[in-house]
Amino acid sequence: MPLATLALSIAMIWLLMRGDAAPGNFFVGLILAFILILFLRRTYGQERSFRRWSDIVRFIFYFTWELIVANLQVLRIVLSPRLHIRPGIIAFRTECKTPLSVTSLANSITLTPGTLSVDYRMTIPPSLFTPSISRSPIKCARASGAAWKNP
Amino acid sequence: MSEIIGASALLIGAFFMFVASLGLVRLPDVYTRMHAATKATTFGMGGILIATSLAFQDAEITTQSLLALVFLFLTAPTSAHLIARAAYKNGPDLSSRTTIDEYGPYLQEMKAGEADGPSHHAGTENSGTIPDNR
Amino acid sequence: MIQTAVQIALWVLAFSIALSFYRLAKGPTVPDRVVAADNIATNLTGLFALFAIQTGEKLFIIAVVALTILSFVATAVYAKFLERGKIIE
Repeated sequence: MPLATLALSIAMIWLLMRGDAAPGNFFVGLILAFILILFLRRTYGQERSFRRWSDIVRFIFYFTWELIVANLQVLRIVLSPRLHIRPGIIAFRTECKTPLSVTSLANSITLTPGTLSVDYRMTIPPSLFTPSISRSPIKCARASGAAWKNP
Repeated sequence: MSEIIGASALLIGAFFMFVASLGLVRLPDVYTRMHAATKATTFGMGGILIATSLAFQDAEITTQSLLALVFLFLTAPTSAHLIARAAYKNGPDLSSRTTIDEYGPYLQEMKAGEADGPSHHAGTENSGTIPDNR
Repeated sequence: MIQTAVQIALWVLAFSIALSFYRLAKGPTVPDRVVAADNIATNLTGLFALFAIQTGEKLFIIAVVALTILSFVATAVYAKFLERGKIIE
């Protein structure tokens, strides 16, 4: 995302927070965005995030479905009278190479079934450490490495 | 109609918040507890915020609750990740059910690597950002 | 009808906070307590959203947004403190 787009989207978020699309509000948002970018420019890496918009839409649908599955799984584990869990921490190798894709992968891992990300190691290819709540999701996580190849 | 959907979203959301707390009490160690808490509270808040936007039927409220939802979806996994790493480094305290741990050996390896020579990559100290020398 | 649902949800969230308090008080390790506190904060944002529906007061939604961000910052700072033992370096 180039810096101008970033500034515009921060201004948009400001407008959403104010809930009032007056031009004055928009300018206040732009000024705030410039101040923020001025301070945070050094930690913000410019990179190409997504190739196609259809990928984002597909990702959102996939993610929503996985979120529902994950919550049903948590429900089953928590409400069953005896705990049938065998947790473990595994190293999981991904094909994601840019910081943004690794970050979004780690965040999605935490919200999708059975897993939670603990740490990353930024070598090529990077691996994420994910404790799984039972062993079957481990296979799932390893298999999803292939699915995650081209996010 | 929208009232029925709103009410059921609200009840489902509240129920999943309750499931999260129940998991927090029942599960054996920090990581599994966090596992339940992160997923179920995020989902539960999703239900409740959908219910607010349906109850008000107002563009401003809808955008604001969507904004809160997006923030929650971005921040909840990040904070879980931070606490999990801090918890492991503070003393693993894995439950006796744990079957496999590939993180401990990795930390040992990192420590051995640091003891060998002076750390020439100061960037790795900075936990929030990913070092440039990838 | 939605007011009845709000009443029920208020009770459910109250029980949920009580359970989290149990973990906050008992939690054998410090990270357990941090997770419990974070859970209580998220439940509180849920309560704010419920109050918004019950009273019809729109300002509560802004409070939900602010509290979400604030609870994240608090948890992040606590995690950093646990990991290094100091907050500002």
